[in-house]
Amino acid sequence: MSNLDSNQKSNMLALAFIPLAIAINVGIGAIVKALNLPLYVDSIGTIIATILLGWKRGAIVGVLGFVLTSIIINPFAIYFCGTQLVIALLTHFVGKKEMFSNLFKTILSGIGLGIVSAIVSAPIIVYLFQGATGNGASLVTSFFVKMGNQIVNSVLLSGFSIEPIDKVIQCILAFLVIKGIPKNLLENFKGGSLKENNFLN
Amino acid sequence: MNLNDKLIFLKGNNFSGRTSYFLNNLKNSNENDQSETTLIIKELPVNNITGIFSSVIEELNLHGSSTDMVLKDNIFEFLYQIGFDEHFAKNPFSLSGGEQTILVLVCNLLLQPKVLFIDTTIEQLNETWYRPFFDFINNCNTVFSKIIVADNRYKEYGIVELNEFEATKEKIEYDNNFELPKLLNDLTKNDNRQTISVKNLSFGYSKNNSIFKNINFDFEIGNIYHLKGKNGAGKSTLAKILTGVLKVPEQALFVNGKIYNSFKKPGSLCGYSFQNPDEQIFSETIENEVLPLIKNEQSEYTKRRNLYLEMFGLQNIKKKHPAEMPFVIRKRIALASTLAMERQWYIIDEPTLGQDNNFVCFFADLLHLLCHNGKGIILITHCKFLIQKLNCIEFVLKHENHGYK
Amino acid sequence: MENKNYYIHPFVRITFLLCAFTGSILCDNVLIVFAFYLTIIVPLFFLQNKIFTHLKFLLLGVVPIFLSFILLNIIVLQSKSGGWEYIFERVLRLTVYASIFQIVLTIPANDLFNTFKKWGLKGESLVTVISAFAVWSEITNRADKIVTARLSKGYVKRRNIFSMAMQFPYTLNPLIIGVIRTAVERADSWHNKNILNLIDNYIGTENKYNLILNTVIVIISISYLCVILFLVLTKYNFAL
Repeated sequence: MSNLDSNQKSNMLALAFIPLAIAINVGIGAIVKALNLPLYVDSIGTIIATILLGWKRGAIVGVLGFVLTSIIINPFAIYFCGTQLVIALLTHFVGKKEMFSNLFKTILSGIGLGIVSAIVSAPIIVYLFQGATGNGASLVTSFFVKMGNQIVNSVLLSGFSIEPIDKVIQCILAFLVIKGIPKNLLENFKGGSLKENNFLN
Repeated sequence: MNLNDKLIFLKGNNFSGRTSYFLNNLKNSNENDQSETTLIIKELPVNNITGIFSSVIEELNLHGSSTDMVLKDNIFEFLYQIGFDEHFAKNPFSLSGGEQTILVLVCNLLLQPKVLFIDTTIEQLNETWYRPFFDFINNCNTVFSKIIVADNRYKEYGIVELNEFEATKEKIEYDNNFELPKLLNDLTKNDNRQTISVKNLSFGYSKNNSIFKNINFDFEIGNIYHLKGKNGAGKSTLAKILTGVLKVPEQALFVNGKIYNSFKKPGSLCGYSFQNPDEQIFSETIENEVLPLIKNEQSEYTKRRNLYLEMFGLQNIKKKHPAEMPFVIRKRIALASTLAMERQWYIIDEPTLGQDNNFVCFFADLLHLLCHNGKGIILITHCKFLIQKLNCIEFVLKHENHGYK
Repeated sequence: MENKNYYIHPFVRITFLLCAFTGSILCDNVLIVFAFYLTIIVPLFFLQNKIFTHLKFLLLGVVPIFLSFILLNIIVLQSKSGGWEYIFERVLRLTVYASIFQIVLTIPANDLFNTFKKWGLKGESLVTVISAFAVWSEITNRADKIVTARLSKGYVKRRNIFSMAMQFPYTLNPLIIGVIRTAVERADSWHNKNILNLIDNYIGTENKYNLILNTVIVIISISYLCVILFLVLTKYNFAL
């Protein structure tokens, strides 16, 4: 009985946390978009939610966050929902392998996340946008095209040069934020990779 | 003990164990009877709002979806009586603390729990709503819930005919005895009579919606001003202007007769303590929160930190994470960190939230002393007990005609 | 703020989404898509009072993309992969698809519950989706207060763009700690209140859907699809 009850409670916690994490995702993405930086910083909420609650909830946060962004801020975001799913999956996988347990490992996972998300979003950027996504990244792409590369290669190259930096920043921020959360609040969250990464002691 | 009455007020200071005692009691009785529903309203009403809907009326309707019709009618009639219906279309999160409290109370009543436990939340209600709420519960024959209130201020509202209950004392984890140290007198004394003057201030967030229109006033140091006004009258806007968060026309704000541009140097003139302490806690240890640890601290600086830690009973827990502390302590931390900043002016919003009379007495003495030492204080509070202890100058903000007495 | 007469029925939204989307993808004449955008989608944004959101999107979303298309195709590649016409078509199509999506999901706050319930969501998924929409003002409120706190504590010595931008990482921490505390306490109260049960019992506010407007939208979207299907099919026959 009490086991079922605690299960229900942690389910409820996920339910209450997801919308708030979405709002953080969208809010930070909006600030960065408004500053027109060549970064995205739109998955901090996804990464935190995945570490706290596991990949399924993380993916919900990421995808719904992008749907919301596309309604209230920038409709083009809707084309990149798939990337968020992959970020959640990979963050969970990496987290289970204790790759967020210190700053150095976190940077490594950030680089990995960046490379994978560059590969995942490249087909969309190439086929839908022809490399022109309208942010700082498309300037980098044009630079690589100018150097004589094919569009596909240029998009990948620009992805490889920007995404890892972006994801490393996000992973470090997520790492620091989770480190700063008091333990008595954190221990309520189950299903993620908090234990593996020593966030609870 | 007789727990059969409809309304029970719990006596006891902070950390006297009244809440935990009661909750344990309820848990035990609940294990025998699974059908008993108990609802608990914690200190911050914001966290009891479901957050699913973006209007007050939908929030009410959600909770009332399976309520007994007669009770629902009674409750809505009560809301109309106290004039709460003007907030129905608003977003629950844009309401002030008192309005959120009424919303949360009513929502929980609509669920018809067997027992409703109300923590110190209720202190945020103002005079015009506190008494009517309990009168409503007493007179309404359809409210079958047993209501248990842990409140430090109910006597101020003349509610004495209700049942009181004293919980047994448990061990006190936190320091709950306060004493003004003599040291405080040595702190920087300031004899110049600084005045903040506001002349012909007009302000609004948009063109159509002006909050202030040509208002004038002077605040003089050494006084305690009690800032009053309804929600939307501009209390927090005024505080934001004085602290320099919002930009006002250059010819509006004067300090000692000279134009003062608070916007360029935010936070240099006034310290501002919020209602909700969680929004102003940034550091990972309490001592760092009260005054940031810096390199090559001067002894004066360290002394000041220790003084405030000592005064607010935080010395033993200074290495801990502030967010780990219970609400009462978080509130004290926020107050201590605001006062420790050493500004000429302090704007303090609801300092007594969740605090017992022990603390309120101490805080009143502290404010007196600060005033004496050349500080100016602007206070926003519903706590009559605190007001009685102070020599306040009342300052009323009105939204429509902006008069003040 | 929203005019009560202009609520769009959930099923009408779905019909519009399906018809407009498939129609615009199938249509190979970009002028027709453009005409559809100007005569139907833009007026719908007007009716929903969301024209400014859409204009902001055109300015901050479409214009940069347009510029980067020009940069890449005209300046760098010197029109090798396609000239101006190609750019216009690409940008227009991307914009129209995204706008269709945006207008369908631009739902007045007090119609959110009805719409998603009619679309078949219930229980946890319903709670997640509607609160994701509602939580926005809660977060902005909180972020605003945290920035105010940092300013009033004097952590920003001199106000300029750089010093304000530097506040960003510092506000993140209290924001998320606050959010987690709220989540923990809210989960408790949701659990006690049995929120899923409440949501399933809740009927929602009754909104009157304007019959004429809704019929017009349905007729237009279906006929748009039909016209395009007809055009595509005749072309296909012709080619045969």
